Amino acid sequence: MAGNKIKLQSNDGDTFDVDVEIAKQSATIKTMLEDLGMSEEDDVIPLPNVNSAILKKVIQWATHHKDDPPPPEDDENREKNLSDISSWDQDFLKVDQGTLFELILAANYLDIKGLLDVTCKTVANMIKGRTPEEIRRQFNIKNDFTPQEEEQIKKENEWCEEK
Amino acid sequence: MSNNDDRSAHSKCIEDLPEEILLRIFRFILPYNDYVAIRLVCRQWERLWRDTKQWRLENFSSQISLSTSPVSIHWQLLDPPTKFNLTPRFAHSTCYVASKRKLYVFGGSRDMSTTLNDFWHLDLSTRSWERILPTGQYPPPKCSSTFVDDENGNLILFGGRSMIYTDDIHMREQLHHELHSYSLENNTWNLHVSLNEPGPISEHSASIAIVNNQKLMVVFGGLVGAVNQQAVLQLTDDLWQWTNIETNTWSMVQVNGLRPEPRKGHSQFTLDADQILIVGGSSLTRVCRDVWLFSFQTNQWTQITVNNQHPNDFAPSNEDLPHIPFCLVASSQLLITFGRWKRHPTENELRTYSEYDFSHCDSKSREQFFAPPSSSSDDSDEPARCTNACRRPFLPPMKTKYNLLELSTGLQMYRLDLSKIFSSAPCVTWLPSKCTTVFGSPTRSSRYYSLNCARSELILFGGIEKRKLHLQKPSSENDHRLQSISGTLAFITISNVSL
Repeated sequence: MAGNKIKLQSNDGDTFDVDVEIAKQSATIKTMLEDLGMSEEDDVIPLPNVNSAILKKVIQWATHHKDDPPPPEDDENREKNLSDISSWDQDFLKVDQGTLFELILAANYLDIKGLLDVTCKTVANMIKGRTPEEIRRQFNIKNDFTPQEEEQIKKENEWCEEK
Repeated sequence: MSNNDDRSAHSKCIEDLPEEILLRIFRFILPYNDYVAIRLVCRQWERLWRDTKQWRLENFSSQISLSTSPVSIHWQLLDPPTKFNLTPRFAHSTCYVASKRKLYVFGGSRDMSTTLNDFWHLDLSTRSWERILPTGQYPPPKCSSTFVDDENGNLILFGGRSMIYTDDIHMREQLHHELHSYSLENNTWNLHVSLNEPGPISEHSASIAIVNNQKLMVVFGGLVGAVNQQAVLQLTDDLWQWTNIETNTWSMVQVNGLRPEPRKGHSQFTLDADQILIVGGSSLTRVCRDVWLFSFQTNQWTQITVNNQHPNDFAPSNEDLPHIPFCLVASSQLLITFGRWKRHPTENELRTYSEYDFSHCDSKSREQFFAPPSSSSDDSDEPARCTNACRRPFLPPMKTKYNLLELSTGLQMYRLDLSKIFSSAPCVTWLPSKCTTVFGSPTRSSRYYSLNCARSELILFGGIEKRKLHLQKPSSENDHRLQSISGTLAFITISNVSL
């Protein structure tokens, strides 16, 4: 099995040779390989939702993180901790917003938990400490509240458990 | 989402993300100031914020009360600020003010002979400390004072103690009788002197209750003595009530029938507006393992049956109980406290830690920890590593950096279930204790720390560790070499572990 490679094909037709173990960080690819028995060298896995620029980034990330411990399975219920993005990841994610969102979508589609977490954290950091108006400007979101609705929300406590 | 050529030609924006992803992002947002902002962004965000908040509430309160399935407790430690000097301390006074989303911290002890009167707040939105410099009548340095929110814009600081020199070399304990209020709005301290005040008092307890539609501060027990007089200090079982800063009237509450034994260092909580619960602390002769409830409807104390004192494992040890605070998690009807390990973790717990609690150690030690035991990473290992049975790393053998000895230095979470306290057969029950994380748990904060429940998290700050020296004669309280004072700030969140 040593050094086994597979070919990944982006939606714009480029193919990439990737170590099987690196590719398997994607649960989607892992399932494909196991369920479909695709392990032959000349098999090409088409990834219709990922373009080549993003796929290249994803492979770069997965290569760097190939020796990471597997993430815990209870992740859905786990409280999230914002402050622990490694410096390599921080540098890796110094990209424009469009690329960041595409990376999130790719990580989601390929089911790479570590990449999805770190990209989501990066977006959360862009939200942190900002006013609603700043957030809207940051992400180009349209305010669809009526002034009355906005007033109503402002009156409500943001944490109803408390008195 | 769809592979639309038109679409992918354009740069993606946040609206292209599916809602499940937005929810994932929102889970990283702390439930304080940022919750005010994100719900005002747009309708979609408002809806998703609601889901996120619900998830946070339910996750915390259900997981903290689970008694059977393993719960993983996450300690997130924050280093003391580097900008300024936040002295490590113990027996300090804290008050969480929900409306400000801040934890206020006053004074405490720096060592056995020095008390402090600096005043800080911890902004929970940004996790940052700020020193508050109020004007007005500043309280003296003291520790073991009570500090409660009068729910009317003031924090009430009452009693406490400090050490004073009686001559060049001798010190003695001085108790304080002053009641100060801190106005959140005006940033001022005010001293409130009253004729009928209880007198010097320390290690008492206080909480706000509503009696006959009137808000009162209720004070119970503590160490008492006369001002400036070297009388022997005694404990009291008196129950006092104080009105508010406007009328500033103290009166002793008439108690019918039985009273709890006089005690100090206990915790007090108001339940159901006018019921006062007392737990923990110590009397002159013993550790108080009894729990009492006072009702303002009957002016009577009731001793509440405590279940599961034994197996002893469920409740804090006699060594810890007199010196540790409790905090109330109202949504789960639980009192929570932390004490040192009394037992070794079970096999199951060891596994749990080895799998879940590495988020707190730095990446270097994590790498070290996860390094395969054999240096040659054979490819033949790979398939085995991927099977279900051993997909997660296990606790490494003793030779590695983290061994069982260190495992036993963490803190254990103790939970007292209050859900049956108002039933026809009132009782409280110690639930099985939880061994908390191996790494990151603040081992130095074993006593006299502060513990507050904020939004779906517990906040532990400061404290002092008294190290046990088995082979030597009992050490005196003043032996500094055995003391280690903590500047630790820890945020404790809880989530389930599905093994």
